[in-house]
Formats: sequence, structure tokens, C-alpha cells
Amino acid sequence: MIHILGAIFIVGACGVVGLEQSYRLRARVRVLTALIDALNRLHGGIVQNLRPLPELIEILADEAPQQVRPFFSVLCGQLDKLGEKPFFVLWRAAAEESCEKLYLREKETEALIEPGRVLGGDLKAQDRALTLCLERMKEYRSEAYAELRERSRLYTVLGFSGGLLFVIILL
Amino acid sequence: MDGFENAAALLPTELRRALSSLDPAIKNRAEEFRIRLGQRPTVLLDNGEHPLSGACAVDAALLRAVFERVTGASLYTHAGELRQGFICVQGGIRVGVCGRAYTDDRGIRGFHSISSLAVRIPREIAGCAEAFVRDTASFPSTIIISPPGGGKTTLLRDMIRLLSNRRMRVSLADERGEVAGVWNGEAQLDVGVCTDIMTGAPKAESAMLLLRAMNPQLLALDEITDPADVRACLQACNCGVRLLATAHARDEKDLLCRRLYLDLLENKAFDRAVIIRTENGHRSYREAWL
Repeated sequence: MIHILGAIFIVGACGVVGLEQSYRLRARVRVLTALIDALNRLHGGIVQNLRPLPELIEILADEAPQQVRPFFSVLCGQLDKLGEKPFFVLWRAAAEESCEKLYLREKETEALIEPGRVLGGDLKAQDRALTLCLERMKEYRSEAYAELRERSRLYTVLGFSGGLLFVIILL
Repeated sequence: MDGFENAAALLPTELRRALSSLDPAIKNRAEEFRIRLGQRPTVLLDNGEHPLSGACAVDAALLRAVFERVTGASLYTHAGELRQGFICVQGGIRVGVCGRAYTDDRGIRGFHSISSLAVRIPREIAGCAEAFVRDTASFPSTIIISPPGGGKTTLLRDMIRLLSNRRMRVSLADERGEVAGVWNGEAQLDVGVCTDIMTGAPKAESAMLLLRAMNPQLLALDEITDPADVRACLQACNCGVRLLATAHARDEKDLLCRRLYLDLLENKAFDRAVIIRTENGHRSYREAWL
């Protein structure tokens, strides 16, 4: 009886690891979609409506899609340091602090950091930088979606079958 | 001292600390902070600039930091002001900008680098215009005259406040936001309860809009500097609206010598001039009927 329970536990635990990897792939696609949505709002707010950056960040901290609010909330919380630290430093710090929560990989984090160098400055430069960032994020989202389709089921199956194999070896 | 504290709040901690240690009497007399690359920051008083003790020479990073704080990291929202070489921020504070500019067909578009900033401290001196506002019914169209930095805007603000609080409908064309210091739609400086304020747009355009839409009894403008401003004033006169404005000149005789104001004076747009004179740090006011 205890062997059976142990076997179920091992298969279950390995299955959960596989499911978690599969979940991460789904989450990445959702987060990248949410980030694109939020960056589009930021882009529109700056280029079309000429709203001040701190105001837009405060709005996004409240109203951006749930998945990406951590980034804007961290940034919003740091805005009182403007003047002591350049805006780019605050933007970069917020991106680095939230990249794990946002399941962002290194190249995606770098793409998010990049427009921070010009945000708040010349309007045309901001337009170009945010447009480029959005294009890159959309590419990364396509890649993430392709990865999800290829590997999601694989990870789930590998998880459970790996657990089963482990049980067989142990027995 | 509120204007001083608000202006100091724009600066980084190290400069704020140096400013907070100033004598209260100095704080009351302070008109501007001047921040120049490679120099110690200074405080402009009525008797000239004085280096700020306890502060080091300003470097490029500090100047950029101040500029970013002043603009709220949103330089693009101040494009129109920047073309005129200044930025208006919360509290009616005007910050003059100098540096290496880059231009487009409309004029200055931005700055490659900043070399100096002049942070003007807005002053409210409640009651300084009391002697010139006897009653609203017989208030004469008035032009306030002094050289630059003479206190015209402060006197203008108090006149508007007094008239407005006596229920005169005042329309204020506040192009640079210095008179009322409007922020998020609310005047940060007291301009009275019956004052309608237009900010951000050229004075002449604002004046015409206010005349058409707000039915003013008094139209107020800061600094007539342009023929378009003169035309707007004459239009107000033709509508039977009284005028309150300021102009750069030493006195009424100097005003008469300036071509820009000839039309106004010939058409009797103003009944009275109030001349501000500053001598040894003390301001005096004189009334002259035109």
C-alpha cells in the first residue's frame, strides 16, 4: 500500500513539474500580450495625447492588465526619486526587479529597458523607440506562442512519464 | 516663504539642504535660483546674485537631474513653452532654460545640452495693490510699468485678486502660467473668486476667446510684448471692457517712446499707469494719469 502511495506521489510530483513548465509557457504568452497592450497605451498617451509620463505610469499602475501591473507599480513607487536619479535608471531598475514576475527572458527584458533611454524626452524619439519596442515584443510573443504549441503538451507528458519511469526504476 | 519652499522642492537633495539653511530674511528676499554649469548655484536677491554656501559647483549630471525633475521627465509636454526658452511648473514657478538648442522650422525644438537654469520664485504680496483698487465701478484701465524683475506680475496678481474678490468678473490671459500658476485646472496662486483663466495659448488668442466667451468686465494680461497683444487690447476697449496689463518700461515717458505702445496710448486704451521703481532693494509705486 505504501509503495502504491509513494509511486502516486512521485508520478504526481514529476507531473506537477511538467505542468508548471507548461503553465509558464502559457503565462509568457499572456504576459507578453498584456505588456504589448500596456506599451500601446503608453505610446498613445505620449504621442497622441501628450500626457505627462508620471501621470501615464500612475494610470498604468492601476489600470494595466493584471499580469504587467507589477512593473508599473514598482516604477510608480520610485517616481519621487526623480531628480535624485535619472528616469532611465528608475525604468531600468523596475524592469530588472519585475522581469521574473513577468516571466521575461533576458532579450525581452532588454527590449523593455531600451525605450527608457529616451522616454520623457523628444517626442519623435519616444515614438520611434516605443514603436520598435512594440515590434520586438510582438515578435517575442509569436516565438512564445510557437514554443507553447510545440512544447506545452511535451512538458506535461514528459513530467508524468518521467515520474512513471522513476517509479519503475525504483521498483 | 511658500513660493521659496515650492521652488526649492524642484531641486535635488543637496541643493535643497543648502537652501533650507538660509536665513529666513534671505528666503523672503529671494527672487530666483540660478544654476549654471561649472559654477556654484546662486540666489538672486534685490541687490544681486549671491553664491549659495554649502553647495559645490554644478556638474552636467546635476543640471540634467534638475531639468528632468522640473519637466517631470516629460519634456515633450512643454514643447510650446520651450520654444520661448522657459518651462512653467506647478505653483506658478517659471524656469528659464539656456543651453545648446536644436531647431526645426517652428523654432527651438529642444536642447542638446543645458548650460543654465533660472528658477523664478513666485511671490504673493497680499495687499500690495490695495492703494490702487478703490472700487470696482470706477476702476480705471491700468497699465503697470517697470523694468524686468521689477514686481509687475506680483502687483498685477494682487490687483486681480482684489477686484475679483469684490465680485468683478475678471478674465485673465495667463500665457506662461506665472500669474495664477494653474495646475491641473486649479489656480495655485490667489487670483480671486471671480477670475476665469486661460493658460498655455498666446495672449492675443486667449484674450479674443475670453472676450467672446466669458463676458468679462476686466481683461487682464501679463506683459504686452507683441502687436497682436496690442490689437487684442484695442478690441477689448471697443467692447467696453476695462483693461489691466503690464509692460516693460522705466516710466510713462519711456512708454511713450516705445512704438509698440503708441496705438494703445493714442486710442486711450489705458487711463492710468502704475510705475514701480526699485531703489536699494526697496520698491515704490507711483500713479500717473495718462
